[in-house]
Amino acid sequence: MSKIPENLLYTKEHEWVKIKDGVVTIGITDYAQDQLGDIVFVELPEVGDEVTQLEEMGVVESVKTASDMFAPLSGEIVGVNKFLMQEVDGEDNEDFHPEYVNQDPYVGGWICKIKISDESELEGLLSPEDYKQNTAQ
Amino acid sequence: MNEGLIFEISKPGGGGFVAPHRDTPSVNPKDVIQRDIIADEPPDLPEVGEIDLMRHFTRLSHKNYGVDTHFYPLGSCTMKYNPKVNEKTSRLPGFTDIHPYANINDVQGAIELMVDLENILCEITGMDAFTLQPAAGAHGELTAILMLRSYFDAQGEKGQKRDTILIPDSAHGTNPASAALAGFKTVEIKSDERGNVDLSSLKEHLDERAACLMLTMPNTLGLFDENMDEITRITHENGTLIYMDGANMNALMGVSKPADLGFDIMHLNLHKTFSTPHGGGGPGSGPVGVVKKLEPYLPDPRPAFENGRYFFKTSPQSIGKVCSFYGNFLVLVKAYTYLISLGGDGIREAARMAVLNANYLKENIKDTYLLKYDRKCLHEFVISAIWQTKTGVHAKDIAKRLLDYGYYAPTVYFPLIVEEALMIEPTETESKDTLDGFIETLKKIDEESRTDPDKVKNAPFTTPVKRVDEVTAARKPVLKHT
Amino acid sequence: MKYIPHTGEEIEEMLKSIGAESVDSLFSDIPRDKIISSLNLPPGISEQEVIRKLTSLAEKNKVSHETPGFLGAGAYRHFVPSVVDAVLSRSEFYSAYTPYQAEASQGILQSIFEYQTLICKLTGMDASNASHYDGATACAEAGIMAVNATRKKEILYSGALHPEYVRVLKTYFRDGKEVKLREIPLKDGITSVFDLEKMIGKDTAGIIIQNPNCLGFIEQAVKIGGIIKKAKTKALYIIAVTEPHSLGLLKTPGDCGADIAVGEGASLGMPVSFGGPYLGFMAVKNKYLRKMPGRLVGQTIDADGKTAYCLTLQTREQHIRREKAVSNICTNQALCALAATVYLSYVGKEGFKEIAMRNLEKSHYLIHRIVELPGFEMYQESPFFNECAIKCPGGAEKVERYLRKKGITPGFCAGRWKEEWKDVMIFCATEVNTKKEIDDMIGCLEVYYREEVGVV
Repeated sequence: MSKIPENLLYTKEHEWVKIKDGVVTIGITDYAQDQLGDIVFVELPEVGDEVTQLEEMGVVESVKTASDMFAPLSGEIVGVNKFLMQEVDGEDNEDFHPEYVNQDPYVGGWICKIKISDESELEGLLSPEDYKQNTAQ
Repeated sequence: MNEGLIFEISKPGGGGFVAPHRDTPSVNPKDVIQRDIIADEPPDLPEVGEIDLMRHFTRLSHKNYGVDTHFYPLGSCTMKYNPKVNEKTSRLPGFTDIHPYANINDVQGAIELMVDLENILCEITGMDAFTLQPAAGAHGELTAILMLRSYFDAQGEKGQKRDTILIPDSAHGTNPASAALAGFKTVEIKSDERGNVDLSSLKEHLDERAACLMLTMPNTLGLFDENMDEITRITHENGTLIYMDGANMNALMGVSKPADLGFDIMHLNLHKTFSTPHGGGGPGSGPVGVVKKLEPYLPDPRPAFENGRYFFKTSPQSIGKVCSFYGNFLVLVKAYTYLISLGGDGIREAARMAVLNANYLKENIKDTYLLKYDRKCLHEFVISAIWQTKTGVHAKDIAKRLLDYGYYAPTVYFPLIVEEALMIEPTETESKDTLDGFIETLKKIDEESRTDPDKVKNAPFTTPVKRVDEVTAARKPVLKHT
Repeated sequence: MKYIPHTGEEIEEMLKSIGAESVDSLFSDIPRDKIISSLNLPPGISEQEVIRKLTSLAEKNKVSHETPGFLGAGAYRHFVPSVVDAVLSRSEFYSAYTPYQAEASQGILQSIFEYQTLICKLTGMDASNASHYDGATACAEAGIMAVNATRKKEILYSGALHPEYVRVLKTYFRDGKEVKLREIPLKDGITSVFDLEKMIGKDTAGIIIQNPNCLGFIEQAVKIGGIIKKAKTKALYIIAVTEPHSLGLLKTPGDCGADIAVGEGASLGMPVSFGGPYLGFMAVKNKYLRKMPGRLVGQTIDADGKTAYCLTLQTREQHIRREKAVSNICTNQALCALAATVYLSYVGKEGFKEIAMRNLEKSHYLIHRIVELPGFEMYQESPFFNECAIKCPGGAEKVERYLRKKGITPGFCAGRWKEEWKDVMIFCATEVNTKKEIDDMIGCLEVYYREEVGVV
């Protein structure tokens, strides 16, 4: 049974969202990482990008699959997880750990942060209970 | 045993090559070339003596399964025997040692071969014209779809609106990728529970934007669509053309012609159907055939024959060129050799025996592995390892275990509409004894999956390397020796 | 001939096992009126008849090594050492398929890994793919890659980019419908740096230069690299190489500042073969690795920790990404890549440079002798490697006809590419040309001038 922490909100696309002071942290759920298998690469949005809800904002890749990530909410990307960047400032990232998404999807494996522009969009997100039902289907 | 890299057996000054002697005056590069572009050092290539080099590559060859060493039931790839006479004819100096820009009078035999080959392909497919230029199946798809774009563009506004290609969910990944590369949108058409195109899904998407329906026939399940006539009728009624991905032509040659079935445009894979070797991934050849109305759009130049003379012609409506010269010419020589060797009767017999072999395998395996679409198949079929997953064994494990028993593996996890898919294509060149051995082995592996699943999950054990860690390869890509 | 091992008895047994009455009945899903009973083709023939037929076709072609020849222009005659065909003839290699099952394909995988390394050494780039169909398709795919990587909509290409490459580029880009293709003018037979500087704009996705260019002249590739860098453009600098032997002497594309190096590898162990199969190569700076199309082989370990090889970064590819893949390319030219691997490993560092030197010497001897003749001159006074555009008195086609009558294969009539080059013949000499051949041709050209052009 995959973990679904109580303090987060979720999307049908198997992403989790954590809200704090108008900024949301986003990642993929335990269920999603398990389905994908060993994550080998994450194509991240760039800080400063404007995203709109349900727009593609990145890709999570395992050896044999590539799964698009969709922005759960609209806003501006204000942070990305450095441990998931293969390259930092044009150099190979020594601390590149895509496996964090597998090992620790809700904390160390977070993907990016969005400063949201439309709070009303939050209403469309799923509660832990709803998400649980969603994955059970 | 590990075989070191060629760079690891290199020693400065150890090379065996001797350059031809200088018979013209020496030239100092600095006197004739801009100094800022002269390299300080030549590229750091290895230096290896001839015997060590030959042994290195011979040992590498021993680490490879080929059709000549192993049965290769790789679905959708038609791994038939590669006749040795093809290798011989394609090495004739009259073919290898002719320049693509040679004067037309000096290459009459080469162009004659191309014209002849086109004619044979037209007869087999019923198409009106062919181009031999595309270098591979995917390249043929791209060529064909670019032609469709030109064809519809020439029809004015109404044609220009056609920007979508309909592709079944069972299709090869190249189909949508080629369509996208040529600037089309793609729409997925569902399959029905018998493995046919779902007619209601097709009808739903046949609108004024539908340029083309791209079908693999028989499809990637090895099944001939039971509603073929209906598909053709409603698609054509909508002004939409029908493309045949000819990857599976080995089932139809000499039995039924794609043009008769209603296809307007298609590609063939000479490296599948017509026995030219796959070469470990190329060179291949992907000729494209078309009905009359599409002929003006074929790539330039085209081989032709008039007034007793062979030459190349061009067309003002042509999409242009898709490769440097005329295609993978030596591959054409091999396919031509094969086709005239077999002749009309032999071509037909090959298709019939390919279908017999596939059905024989299918019927003898289907009690052991789930056959999702239990129908007569043509040249290949798809089974599922879903029954075996009870003990945690997956399709890829069965594939790996087959390697231990001296077989190459079937295509796995494709088509996407069958869970735990194993796609098996025996081809006509395999004997009944080989097929019986394979059936027995598949049954044995099924048994192992119940009695000793770990053995199957950790296979292979007898190959030059054990299971390869693809995750590490993808996370920290090492793509060259440093 | 037939390649079907079944006996009549076995066919009967198999049908019985299937529960089918006849082979025909297996085709019952095909509409009956669409089934044919035979093809209108001659019946099969024996192997000796096949060989006779193919030999007679081959003999209708004039074999180029039997006549002195000076044809290059994108397809170069080089000596192919015997080891190359000895390796390529091993059917463990040629009868294998693309290495999906890594454990049973280590031979071809390791050879591709070696190939990728060699191409990186040759081009001075960080990462090479497993190869493309040919130089022109590799070049077109590099253009597409530049558009995808920069999201810009304009490609600038040199006026001396091989015309066949330009045509393929135009085909791939559908004549510039969505992406603008602009030709950079030439000055002195090479890309005009002045014009290039003006043409680089905010929409430029890629700049394609061929070096040496299609007229044989060596481009100012280092200077152009500097200009592109200075322009602070996002555009990628693409250097195309049709004659890799030039890299035995010239700076690598990487050293010239290129982001992508592409080209034709046929010179590395493949015969000219009427244009194919050839070998497209592509190598990039690390930054663009994931945007690069084509197969890639990576080094890894097996379950026992032993070094092993496998296809990697496959999520870029069509079989996973389908319509979102970076290209539709499915395979590579593996056997041609193997030829190049054996060739480069065999000739080695010193041999490769020596071959380049022989090319330089022979072509310079050839061109110096030609321009000493009355009426013949270099199309432009620019440096060249193993071929050079020559302005011919009386026009190139007249020279072609004359030399052919004398049993010599002349250079390439550049008028076949562009009307403005109708007086130009591109003469090429490689290590296979002898001094005697060159001297004989010079003798012919002398007589040609006297008899056909004459002194006014």
